[in-house]
Amino acid sequence: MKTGIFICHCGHNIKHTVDVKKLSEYFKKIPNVTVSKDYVFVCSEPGQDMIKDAIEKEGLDRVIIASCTPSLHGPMFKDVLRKSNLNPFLLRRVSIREHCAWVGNDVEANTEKAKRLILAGLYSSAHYVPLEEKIVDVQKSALVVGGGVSGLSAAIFLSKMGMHVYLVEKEAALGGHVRILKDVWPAGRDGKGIVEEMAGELEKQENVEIFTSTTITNFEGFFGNYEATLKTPEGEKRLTVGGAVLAIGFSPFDPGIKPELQYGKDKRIITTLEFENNSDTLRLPEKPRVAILHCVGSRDEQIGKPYCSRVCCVNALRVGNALKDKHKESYVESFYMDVRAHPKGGEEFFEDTQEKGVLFTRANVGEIIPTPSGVVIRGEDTLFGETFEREFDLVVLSIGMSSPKDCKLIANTFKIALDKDNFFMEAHIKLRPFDTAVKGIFIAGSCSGPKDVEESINHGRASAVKLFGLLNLGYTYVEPFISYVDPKRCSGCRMCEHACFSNAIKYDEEKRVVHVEEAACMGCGLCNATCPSSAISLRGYIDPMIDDEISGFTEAI
Amino acid sequence: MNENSFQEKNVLVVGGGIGGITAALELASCGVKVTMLEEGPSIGGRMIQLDKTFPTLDCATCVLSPKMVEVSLEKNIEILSWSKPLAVKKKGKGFQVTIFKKTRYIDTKKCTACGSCSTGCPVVMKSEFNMNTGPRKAVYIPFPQAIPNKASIDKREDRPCKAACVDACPIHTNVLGYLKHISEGRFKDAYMLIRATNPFPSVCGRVCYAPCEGVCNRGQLDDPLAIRDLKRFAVDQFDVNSLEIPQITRTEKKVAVIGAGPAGLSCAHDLAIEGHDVTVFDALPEPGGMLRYAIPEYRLPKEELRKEIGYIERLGVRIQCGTEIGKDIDLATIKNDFDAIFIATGAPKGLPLGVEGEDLSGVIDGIRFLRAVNSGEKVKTGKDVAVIGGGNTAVDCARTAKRLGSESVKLIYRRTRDEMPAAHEEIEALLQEGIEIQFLTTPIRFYGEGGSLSGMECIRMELGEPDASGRRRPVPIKGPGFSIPVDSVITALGQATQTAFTEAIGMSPAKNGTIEIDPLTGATGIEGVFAGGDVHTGPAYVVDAIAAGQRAARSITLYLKGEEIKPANARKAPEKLSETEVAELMKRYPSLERIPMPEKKVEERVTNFGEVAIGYSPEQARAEASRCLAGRIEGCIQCGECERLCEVGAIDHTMRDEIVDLEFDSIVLAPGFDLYDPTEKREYGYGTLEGVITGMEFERLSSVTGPTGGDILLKGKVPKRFYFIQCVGSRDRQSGARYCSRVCCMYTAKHINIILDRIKEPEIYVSYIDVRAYGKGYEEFYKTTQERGAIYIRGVPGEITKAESGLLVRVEDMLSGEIREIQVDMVILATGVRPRKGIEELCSIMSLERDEYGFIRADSINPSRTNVEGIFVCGMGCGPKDIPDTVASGGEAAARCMEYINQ
Repeated sequence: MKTGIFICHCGHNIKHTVDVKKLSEYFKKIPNVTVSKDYVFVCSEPGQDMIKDAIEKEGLDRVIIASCTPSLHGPMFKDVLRKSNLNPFLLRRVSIREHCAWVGNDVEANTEKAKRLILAGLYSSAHYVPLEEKIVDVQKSALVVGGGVSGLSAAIFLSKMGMHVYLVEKEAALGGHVRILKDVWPAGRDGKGIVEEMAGELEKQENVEIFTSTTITNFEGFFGNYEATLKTPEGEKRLTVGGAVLAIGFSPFDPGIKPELQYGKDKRIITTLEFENNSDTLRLPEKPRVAILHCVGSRDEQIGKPYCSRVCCVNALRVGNALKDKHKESYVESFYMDVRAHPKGGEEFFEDTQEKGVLFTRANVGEIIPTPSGVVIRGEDTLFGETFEREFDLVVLSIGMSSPKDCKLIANTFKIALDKDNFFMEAHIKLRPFDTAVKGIFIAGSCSGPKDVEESINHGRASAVKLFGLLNLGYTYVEPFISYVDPKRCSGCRMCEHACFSNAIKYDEEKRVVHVEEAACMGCGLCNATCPSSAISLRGYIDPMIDDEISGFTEAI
Repeated sequence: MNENSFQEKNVLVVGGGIGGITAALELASCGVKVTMLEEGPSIGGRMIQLDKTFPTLDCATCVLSPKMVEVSLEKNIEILSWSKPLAVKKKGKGFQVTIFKKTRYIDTKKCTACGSCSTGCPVVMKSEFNMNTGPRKAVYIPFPQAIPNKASIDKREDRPCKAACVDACPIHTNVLGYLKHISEGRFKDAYMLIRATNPFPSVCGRVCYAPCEGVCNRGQLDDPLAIRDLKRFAVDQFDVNSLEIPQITRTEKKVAVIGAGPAGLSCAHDLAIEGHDVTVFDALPEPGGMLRYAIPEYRLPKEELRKEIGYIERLGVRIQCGTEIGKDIDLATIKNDFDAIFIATGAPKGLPLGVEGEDLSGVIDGIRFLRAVNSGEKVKTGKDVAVIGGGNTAVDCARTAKRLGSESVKLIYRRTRDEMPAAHEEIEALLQEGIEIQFLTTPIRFYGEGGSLSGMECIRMELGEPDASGRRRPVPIKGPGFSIPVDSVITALGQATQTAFTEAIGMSPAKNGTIEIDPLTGATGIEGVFAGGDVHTGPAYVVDAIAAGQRAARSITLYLKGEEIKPANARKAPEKLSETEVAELMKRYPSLERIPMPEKKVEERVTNFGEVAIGYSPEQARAEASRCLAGRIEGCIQCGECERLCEVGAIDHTMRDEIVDLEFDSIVLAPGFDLYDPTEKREYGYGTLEGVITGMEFERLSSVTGPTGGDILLKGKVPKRFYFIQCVGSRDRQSGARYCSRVCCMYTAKHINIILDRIKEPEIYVSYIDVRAYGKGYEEFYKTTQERGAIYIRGVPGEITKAESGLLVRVEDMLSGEIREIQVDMVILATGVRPRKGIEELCSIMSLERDEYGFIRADSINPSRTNVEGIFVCGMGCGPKDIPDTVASGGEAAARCMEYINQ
């Protein structure tokens, strides 16, 4: 075995607090180490050339680069090996910058730790074998689940870019919740008009199939070649798709859960959505007294809705505005905790609403008591610290967004995770808000948390462009770190099958053993850890490798 | 549809923040070629300035820098930093864009971001990355994770002077640089900069003949800078003994240096730093050569010299004194034992006058005289002393004789004052001390009785034609001589070398005894043997000897490495300002007189050997140093220190800004935002009260890449009581922004959590109108912040004033109705979002519409679409957004852009 160890100074970064010279000298004396060098920037061009030269001249068969975190420059160093005709999986990275140099200023301790880490890398890499990344073809087709503004945006984009798109909507009509909005703020347009325009644009595309009144019953396979089973009014339908965008929206909060609100028991207590759709049929007196309650189903830990629903303050403002426009002489009072008029134009809208005469009272509403003459609201004014009791002709509940009713079902079907509030969980809340842990499955719109129309449209297209980028390549690499089964040891207990996240374990009824579907395996190692007979191993992470790595940390030197 | 037609398309992304990064990466992942324009030195935008991100408290750098690296590694993205669009023309469906590329003055292909240039740069400026709360250098990398990770030089204008001082100095001392340091009070930095090219700063600060001052361009305006005296000042601020020894890698090569004068020791110093094993031999009992044995104590205290030599010894140089080569050891033996030799034996022998009676007792040569005095021997001079000569040695002898108690001391010189080679200020001092000079006089005979001197016979001279040195030759006037009664004569007419010992290795010195060398490298005709200093030139100045030693050290290192001995790059000759330039500069910089060096009173100084020059006070030094024209400009002063330090030769001051025309099929704008400047809100005292800072400044204060390395400090102490004010410049008609900035409520909650994590038992108050915690996980984060002890007060403070300890905040608590007065250490203003500076220009060249606040107008149903087809906008360019919303809008803009170019 001929190992080359390259220790990076990272300018001053590592050199300052790790004695790189001492390290390179130390490893020169270790068996199986052919080359041990330190260099100012291993990632620079001369640094890369130094590695290439050493591989070619010394015939290295293992390369250890002790430098920054492996995730930085990973692909680049792999390329260096490839260009020198060495399998890239014979590369070992050791992080002596993040794990040693940046930890503290004690040069001796840092150097000692770096020595241990490199030694562990050396022992572990002795077990490395050349691995091959497989290339698999990718279907240039996409499944979009949900026909609201987010799903429509995704579908329009993907189809215009030439992907074959299957749009699945469980309702009879496309458009989601926006369809029933009379006046979409701040666009000032009819919701139906907006969604029909989008649906029209989509239907014009040739490569689109739309399934309404349809649900998904099964989804399996792997990135590039997923198999989806649909339940359509015409019967079951099976599709092969490269990936999917899930945009299943939200469910409006049901105020019936809070009995003190008397919702459903008195017609004078309605939700913002009901007001939107029936404002003309409400029989209000000439000078109506209307109460608007903010945060119904939001910021309420008692009912398990601790989050802010992001859109309901503006919805409440819309109600107040509409009432004042229609009934100049009305008395409209909004009961709020904080007015979160945060979207663009929201603050101005809030000010305009106040100027129109809507009163804003910072309050905790305790209960609603319907009486024959009106609906009495009893609560505490949190600004003045006084309790109040006032009678209204109408109470409008500004309801929040709850997670979609099908969230668990869809999450299970697509094997993605839910957050604590049962919305879909994103891979990274800040920078990967559309990605999931499953390759090729993206989430968009309010199914990952409350969003307004503009934000949902943004999400739809942004997730679609990500999926497009993946599918458009036409192929995908399958990581070689996948599980394999030793059929002689397999007892056929099938525990691994249950552990597997990605349906990659298949049971052979005849031989009574399992095998791994390579393209589906994500290399998570769960089967490996679950197997009671140690019949499953993960390529590139075999047990002796880990044992020896540990002894590198612990042995006396 | 032509499948994948977009793959040959080019898109311009303007702005390298998280919005632009997202859009660029999405486009590139689809195969589109992206050019990313970034106005500053690095991509990363505002997000990379943040310490952490809410609500997860992830480190912003850790989250964003992998994305930045992804951009830099992505083959489909080209980053143009320091660039902005100047003009945009519609061309078919696409655009022709004229781009301005500001130069970095750095060859980015060569720069390895090692940072040595910044370490040495003497120009300290405010760091924009740190919101001007910390320093950066004129050559800098804004932060360690910058992409592109390359240095830039912040050069705003050309240096007003020609830096003739540096060109005139034989060792090219960075005069501009150390004067800049002194003028801004960084005395230790000044010292270190001088030290970087001079192993004898305390010597040169006292006795250098200062060729720099003679050519100083300020001298063309009024007076030249007091460069030597300022060096002396810098030296006095620092104890050489506390200087740390640099890390030295040993080479196992042995070098012998013959002669422990300035040339030999300078060479030894540089060789030791290179890791060679150096032994210096000297015939005299102590090292230092002429510095030790010729220059009188009142000009150069021996203690100062000992310290400088002590440092050279600490570098590992062995000095073997009392060993004369050719007598105690043969040079041939040394040549056998060492890998290289440097001969720097100087010119230690006084030249005889060559007249009758020179052997009388009472006649002594100057070098011997000074050596005796400096060796501590009891030297007696007579009552009436005559010193023959007009050089520095003659002046030293005369002033020394005066101090030894001689009643009358005269200097006898054969030419006039104008021809005297001694330094002007030395002659002045001499005259002040009551020593008379008899010009145009030369002795022709000394006489006396019983072997003792009693007088000398002189003749008168006149000046004739100029000689080889350019001075007018003295010619005797015919006529009778005259006698001067003296009982001591000191002759100081020049010195000669002693080089016979070199014959042992086959060298043949020139007729006048000097050793011939290649003046650029110090190489003699014999391999491995180098020479320099007075032994080559004849008697010259200290700084010339240092230069010779350094030159030889460089050559010896090359020789020992087996490389070709090439001379260092030559420097240009000192240049003068033209008359027009002088006139221009006189207008810009009013005349300022040079500050004279304070000296001891004459009566006091002639009685002893104490140092005459007292040295500047710090105030005097700063005032004098700030007269330097180069230091007067903003930004890089082109002192060349970075060029000297850059190992890869990446600095290129000849680079120029560029303007290029490029064609694009579509444009995505991600110009980002600025923050409201709360100075106009006088009631909060921002900019006048210490401790009132903005949220973004707090962000830098708490960040590990910030000016305090992440320690939350106010005046060096950890503050305990904090007051946060939200909606500063948001929801506020007065400041012109009715809108909500959408991020300030949450970043305040984040700051509170950072404080709670790092400071024990803090007291935290927050003034708010509404807490807008609308995003995913935000409400929970806000709740936690309250639960951890932050006190939220509904109401906006009326004013902030100075309190007994810290600041006093007066606020009406709207919930309780009472007026509260709260004393705190620090007030943090959650300043709102403003359109990016320059967005107006950007919109005007692209004919884009803007909203009433100046953000780019977009459409809520087609969120990235602008009024110009093919130009899309994302992120804060069209209004306040938090990071996830910016990421989403970046993706959306990329999607619409793809759709557009695919049509």
